[in-house]
Amino acid sequence: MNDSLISLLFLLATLGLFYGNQAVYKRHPRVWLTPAILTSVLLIALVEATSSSYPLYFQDTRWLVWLLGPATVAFALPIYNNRRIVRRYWMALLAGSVASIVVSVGVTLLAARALGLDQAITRSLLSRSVSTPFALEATAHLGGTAQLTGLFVVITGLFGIVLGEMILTLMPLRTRLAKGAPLGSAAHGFGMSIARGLGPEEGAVASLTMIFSGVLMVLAAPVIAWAVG
Amino acid sequence: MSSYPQVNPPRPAASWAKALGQVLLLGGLWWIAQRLATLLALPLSGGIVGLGLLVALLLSGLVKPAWVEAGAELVLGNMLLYFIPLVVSVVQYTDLLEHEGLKLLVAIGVGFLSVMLVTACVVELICQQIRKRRYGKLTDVRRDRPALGSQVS
Repeated sequence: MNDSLISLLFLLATLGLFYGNQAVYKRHPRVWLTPAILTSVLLIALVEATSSSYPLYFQDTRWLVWLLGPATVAFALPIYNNRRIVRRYWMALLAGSVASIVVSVGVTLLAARALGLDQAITRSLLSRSVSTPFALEATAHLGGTAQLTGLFVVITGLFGIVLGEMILTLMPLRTRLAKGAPLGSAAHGFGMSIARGLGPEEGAVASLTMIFSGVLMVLAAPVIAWAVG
Repeated sequence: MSSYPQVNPPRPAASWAKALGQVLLLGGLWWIAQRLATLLALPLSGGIVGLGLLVALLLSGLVKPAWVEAGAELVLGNMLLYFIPLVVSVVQYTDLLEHEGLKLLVAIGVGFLSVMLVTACVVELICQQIRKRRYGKLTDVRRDRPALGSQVS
């Protein structure tokens, strides 16, 4: 088999496994059946089993990653649809997003230093708290790699799915905004799906803080890169 | 134009075609935004510029939400799929994960927890301030309003 056929088969395998996995997950919503985990694990096993190189796998599947561009533009719609919440609570949403970026970068730097992680990994960790399209753009400024950042973003999201709701119930929060906002800013799209389960307002707020902190991370990336040195 | 009540739901093929067309529209907007960003030497990517552009177009009414709604839903609903190829890249980093995997989990977990806690507190505090101010205004209005019956006498 020649390489272009193999890479096309990898693309088809990715699509097939993902949508099959999604159908299974809809019926049995378990954490380990999340498409982000199971599909990835199966594909990793497939690439390893056929002892193919990652560039070969990425040759055609990069078109899927390319779709993150139009997805960024599409985030305009949730902002427009929730413009009432934005108009009334823009200060709370903005402050929450700014706080999330500052804390995420600060704590990541401290933790990385305490654990003795090396420079390249630390730089890829810095933008991991925001949604993938934003994280990839920020990480380019911060000196991280797209692949590692993409992986860290997914792990962060999984923390949100596993722990997000529990943390919120342990906190004495009275407003719906304060329940949705942290899920969006700490665990991006994964957190948003949890927030949607809590209620439509929580879901809307989570999608807003997810977008706000993503955009802020990209805007702040040159400054953070300068500060980190 | 008369609006007939829609008896039959739109055929799936037609709605798919519509959504795909709208995805192309979003892609086109992204492309234009990218050209614009390089042309004006903005420090932003086409994604962010396109996002701002589309919000502005929607708010001004130049673009109707219905023109892009189905496409946006399709693109955003499948977003998980787009970064799976990036996750598969761990095959390149098996050594790293063997040695640093646990440390990475700790770093990410601690980061996640602190972001959750701080964001929740900040948003809760500001929301309560906003509500207090609005509630305060309402009581002010009520206080200044002449009491019922006072005008009659």
